[in-house]
Amino acid sequence: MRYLLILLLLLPTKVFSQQVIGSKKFTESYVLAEIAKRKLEEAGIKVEHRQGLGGTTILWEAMRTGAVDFCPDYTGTIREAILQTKTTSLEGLRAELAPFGVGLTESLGFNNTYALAVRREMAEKLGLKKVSDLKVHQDLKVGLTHEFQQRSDGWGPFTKHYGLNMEQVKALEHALAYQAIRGGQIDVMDAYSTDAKLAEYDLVVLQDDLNFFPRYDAVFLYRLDADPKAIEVIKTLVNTIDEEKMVKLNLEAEKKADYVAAANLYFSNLSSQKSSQSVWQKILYWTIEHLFLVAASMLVAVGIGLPLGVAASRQGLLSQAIFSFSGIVQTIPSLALLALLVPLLGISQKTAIVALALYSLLPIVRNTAAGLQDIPSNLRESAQALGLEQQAILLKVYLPMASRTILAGIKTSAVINVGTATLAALIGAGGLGEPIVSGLTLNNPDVILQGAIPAAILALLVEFLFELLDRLLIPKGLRLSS
Amino acid sequence: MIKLTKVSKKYSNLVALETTDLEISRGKTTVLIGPSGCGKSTILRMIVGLIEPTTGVIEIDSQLLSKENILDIRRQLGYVIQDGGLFPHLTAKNNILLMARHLRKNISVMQERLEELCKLTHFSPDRLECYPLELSGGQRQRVGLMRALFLDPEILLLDEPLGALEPLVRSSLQQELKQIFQDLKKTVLLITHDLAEAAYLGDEIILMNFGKVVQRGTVDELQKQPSEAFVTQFLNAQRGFSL
Ligand SMILES: Nc1ncnc2c1ncn2[C@@H]1O[C@H](COP(=O)(O)OP(=O)(O)OP(=O)(O)O)[C@@H](O)[C@H]1O
Ligand SMILES: [Mg+2]
Repeated sequence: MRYLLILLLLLPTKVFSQQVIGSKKFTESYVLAEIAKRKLEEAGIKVEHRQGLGGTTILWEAMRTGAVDFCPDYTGTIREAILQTKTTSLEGLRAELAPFGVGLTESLGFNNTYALAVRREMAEKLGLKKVSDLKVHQDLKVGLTHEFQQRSDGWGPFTKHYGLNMEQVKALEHALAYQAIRGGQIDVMDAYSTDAKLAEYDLVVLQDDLNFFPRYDAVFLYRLDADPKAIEVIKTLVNTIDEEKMVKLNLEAEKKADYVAAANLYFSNLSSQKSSQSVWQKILYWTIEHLFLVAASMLVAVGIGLPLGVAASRQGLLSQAIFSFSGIVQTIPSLALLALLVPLLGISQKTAIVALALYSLLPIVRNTAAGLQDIPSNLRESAQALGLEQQAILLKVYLPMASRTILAGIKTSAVINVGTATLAALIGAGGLGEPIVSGLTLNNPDVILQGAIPAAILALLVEFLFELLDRLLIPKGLRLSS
Repeated sequence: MIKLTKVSKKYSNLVALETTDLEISRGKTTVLIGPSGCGKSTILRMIVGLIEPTTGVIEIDSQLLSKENILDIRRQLGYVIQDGGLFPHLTAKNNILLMARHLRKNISVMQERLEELCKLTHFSPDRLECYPLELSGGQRQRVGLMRALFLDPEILLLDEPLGALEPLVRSSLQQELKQIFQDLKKTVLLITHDLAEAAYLGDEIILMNFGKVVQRGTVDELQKQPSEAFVTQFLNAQRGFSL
């Protein structure tokens, strides 16, 4: 058993010389990572893209521990969320990242931050280029998100900084603002500078000429010990994407629901490298990954759950402790459990397998204990009176008699596990959660279904498989009673 | 053969068996009888080591029963309970062979022994592949008996073996048991509720009440020289039904 565990823990360690790119679960991060991936591949370097990791903390943990070699990020995020420092210069950030073994490229060429956007045709007509240009057009109607209007570093200080006194300002929902600006009910709105909707609604961003907004320059983080050749390749991305281009790439990704297509647009040869695999191939690949996660975690869960169940079937403190433990694990929300395990185990399939195994424990432990406790006392006495050793009684009499209940517990675990395993995508462990997470990011139901339908079918198949196992494994004598 | 010295059993504040000295003689059939809850099964369970006496010691063939030798001793005992105590996941045959297989006995020897026992207990060999739930009560009892007899133990302990059977099957099994006991010359300790069964099978009867041995002897002796009023009371209570 111990060797099996060790084997499982070693399994997903990265293949030497293969470089790993990580991305967070939002469109721009996916696209930048795909661009880097293709760049590296063209330079003959083996790359893997672990996509849609569940947030800054998880991805940073992965960088720090070396599970990921490269990832796109923003200077503002590095400053505020990762380092929590006041340093603003790239050199300063670089110096503070170095102790973690992490390096930082120059800006990729765009700044993804709060900005004011206006209709292109109006900007051209009025000659609006920078925020300062608004001073002579204070009659324009402004629509702001509630958040930007209220924030202490929002609209108030912003107008003071620029000496603006706009005449008409109202707050409205962000989603409605795009409709409103197109229809002319408002002329100026706040937006993220690389939002795909800017292109969709033909808006332009006014330059923050007096530098009010903090900078969120896009950069790549890299492991200082990554393949030096790969680092050189990533550095060639510096200053090759401006805001407008990024907006277009984001739009392409959201329209086509395909990051590879968006990355191809960067290389501006749309046809040459169409999505390298067909949808069916991708689904097959995800399904296999998914099955691996489920099988490996179930193996661990059964390996641990059975002995725990046997121990818990005897009355006493130990039994209570085991039930409390596996019960508590069950109540931790799955995302929180993943987040708790990441600092301990890094981001990898290994972490996902441990988390899934922990989740699968309770039904196995409970059913094993219940199955054993249900054995009538006269049959226990008969078994003991034969003169069998305790271990032989357990293996030859008790466990076989409880086998049906135990199998039912394993089945419950497995079916739940197939569903829960979709969350593994959040820590880069792959599986059918990958299309679900990216589909949610893209707001594209088709992509979500590419993961959700196979996952549902898998759950049904697992049910069916266990029905079959029930016929094959459970002694006929036990099935007669029902 | 079996000897209890100053043995008692207490459950928290309930005395299941008062301090008792008892000797069960070799090669004879001794029957424990008495009202429900008087401590009959308690005695049997202690002999098999399923429960520990609160005080006193038990010897089997001059071996003191202890944690160390309990497995060996159990293998020299045949223990049969009501309804056979068969394991539902095993066929009749696998129930019977469970222990012999565990001890890695020779297969052809096992096969011979199985046939021999089928004859002895009048069990049809083509029912051997059936699971307990596919057998009748009488058949289950026969299988339980075969399992207990398989390794040819010197001592047979039977706790109401025929308790769950309807009268006709019960009476034919009584005859078979009597035959088997006589043929095999085992030391038998048998529990029953039924005075007629006790009289028919037992060389000697031990009558118990409230955790105490009241009187010991043949039915005749119990009838003619009752040690206390309870003996006559008990015998009269049963006469109407079974004689
Ligand atoms: N595990 C136990 N815990 C507490 N009391 C018990 C336990 N087992 C038996 N007893 C009590 O001990 C007393 C003797 O039980 P025992 O099983 O020996 O009775 P018995 O003579 O076999 O009765 P019956 O003819 O009904 O089988 C009973 O009062 C019973 O309730
Ligand atoms: Mg009893």
